Amino acid sequence: MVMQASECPVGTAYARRDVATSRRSGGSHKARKRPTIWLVPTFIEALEEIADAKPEPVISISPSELDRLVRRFGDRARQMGRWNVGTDGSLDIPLAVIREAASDLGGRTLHEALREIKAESFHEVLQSSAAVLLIDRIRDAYDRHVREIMDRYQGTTTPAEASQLRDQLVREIFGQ
Amino acid sequence: MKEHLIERLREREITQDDLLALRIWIGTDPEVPDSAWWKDFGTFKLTGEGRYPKTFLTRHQTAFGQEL
Repeated sequence: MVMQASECPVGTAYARRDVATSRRSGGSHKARKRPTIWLVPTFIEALEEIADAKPEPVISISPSELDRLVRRFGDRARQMGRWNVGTDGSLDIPLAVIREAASDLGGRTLHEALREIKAESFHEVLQSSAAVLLIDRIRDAYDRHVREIMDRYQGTTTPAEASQLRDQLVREIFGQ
Repeated sequence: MKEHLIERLREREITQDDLLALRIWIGTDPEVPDSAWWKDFGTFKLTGEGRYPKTFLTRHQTAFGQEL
């Protein structure tokens, strides 16, 4: 199988490199079957990609959806992320936090948690349910996320960074 | 007021654990009295009146009102 540049999952920088290589190899290559090629970024390319990366996406749970979750799973639902109690009452959770928590659970437990969360029920679920387990893992992962910001805040020697991290912590602890 | 509390973390006057306990407490959407109240978080105290927090005190300062 040949991976076309347009199908390459590792970013445009690597795709451009592949196209240039194909052009240099002349016209006869079209008829030949090429070997399987996985394009692996070089060390520098990987660092460039990380440096240029946009901030980690954050998902926002609407106030009505959050109310539904709190009714079924208790206060822990509000503690999964940044509760914007001073504005619209939504809850923001970095996607990385959810990923970390989900990867801690086995596939079967995660599917069971999903089924429970999607269920249209008004009854409070058992404390031992898979959904409660997932929500508690997200809450713990979010605490670790905040703790990392605290560590950076306490460790930085740059006044500008300290000021930016302080403001970020105000938002993480008190919401918006 | 909030910025000042966070700055105390940098000066190691309050702990990460106590700040996280405050975060979790806020997430419980706590019921508070209409009159003056305070809550002890270990290395600091939060005081308020009605729905609104008023100030943070150090652990040695005396708070007035109802303890939560």
